[in-house]
Amino acid sequence: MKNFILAIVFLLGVSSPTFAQPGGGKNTEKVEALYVAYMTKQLSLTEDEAQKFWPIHAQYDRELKEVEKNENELERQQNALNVKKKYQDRFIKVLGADRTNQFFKTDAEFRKKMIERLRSLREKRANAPRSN
Amino acid sequence: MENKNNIQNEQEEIGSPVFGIIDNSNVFTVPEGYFDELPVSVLGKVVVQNNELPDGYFDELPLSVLGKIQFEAEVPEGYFEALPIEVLGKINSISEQQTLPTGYFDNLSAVVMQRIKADETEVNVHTEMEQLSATIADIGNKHPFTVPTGYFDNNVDAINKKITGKQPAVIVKMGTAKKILRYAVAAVVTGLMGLGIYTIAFDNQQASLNPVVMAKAENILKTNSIDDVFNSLTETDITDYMTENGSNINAALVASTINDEDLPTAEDYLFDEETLNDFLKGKNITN
Repeated sequence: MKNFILAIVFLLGVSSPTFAQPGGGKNTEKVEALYVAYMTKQLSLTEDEAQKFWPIHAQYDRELKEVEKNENELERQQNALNVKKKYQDRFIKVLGADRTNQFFKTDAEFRKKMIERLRSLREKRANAPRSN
Repeated sequence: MENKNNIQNEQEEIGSPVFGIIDNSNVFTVPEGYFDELPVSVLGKVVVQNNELPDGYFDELPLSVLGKIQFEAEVPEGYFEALPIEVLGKINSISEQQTLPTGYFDNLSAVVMQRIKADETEVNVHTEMEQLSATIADIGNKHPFTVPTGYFDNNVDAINKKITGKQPAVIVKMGTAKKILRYAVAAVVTGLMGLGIYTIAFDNQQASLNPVVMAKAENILKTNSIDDVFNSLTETDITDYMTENGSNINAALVASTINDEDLPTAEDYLFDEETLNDFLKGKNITN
């Protein structure tokens, strides 16, 4: 009986951090907020459009994250593309074809901006001791 | 019915055959409807007597009564004046004649008790009882009902055995720790049920928006601070985000740095193999 209770307490302990933060173990809210703001601005989303678009995007994001876990690189790319195509129609209903196309471009652009920012930060860190 | 006969027999034995003979019905009877007519007959008699009284009878009654009293209770003159003296004189004469022997009251209680005892010996309670009922007299003042010694000690178990054919159940008392444990388990089970509901609700929420993120995004747009926030991002902010979104950061970094303008020229490649190493070092993709 004691072991049973210990097991339950242990399970609760393990599972509670996931409950505490829906986004996962890491604090990604700052970049996520920047992403939402950036996309909203680049796609010129109206309030009405945003209210329809972001819930669909949340589901899209969730499915995409699932397939990104695949270790097989080609399968990962294929599955990710399938998810994107699957959601393309749903995005078109809200944004229209042109702006849906622009969404996929802007999404990649944001990722690229993040990588560039990361690279420049690392370069600064690497160069800092040399400049002294 | 049997009891009734027993009581009758006993009563006959005791010496009152009359009671034995009498049936157990009510011995006092009145003619049927007697009480219905009683008030009327009583009133009838009252009315008849009233009618016989002469007129003004009650008006003259006190006077005639007083007249009779005066007539009958005539006393010699000065009777009441002499009365107290006469009474006292008589009392004195009596007390003089009938003096109590000395120590009369000292012995009185002893004398009274002696007489009572003398009476007792003559008519004993027991003999009186013997006259009434020989059976009861035989019993005396002993307790008539007896059980073997230790009879009640084993009685409960014996009865239980007879009823169920089993030994009485063994009662095991629960310790305090076990009680606490019981409540703890109940609490844990309740908690798990709650957790289950929470998980179901949470699963639905996962697909929906994170309100904190949306509020922050709205704030960024309002303050027009996309660039500021972008420039404030730290390495950890970005790597956490990228990892969360399933990106291979090193692969992404290499992809982003391989840019036609940044690539060494064909001649540089031919110059020596160190050039590529320098290039890669410069991009700092080896973390």
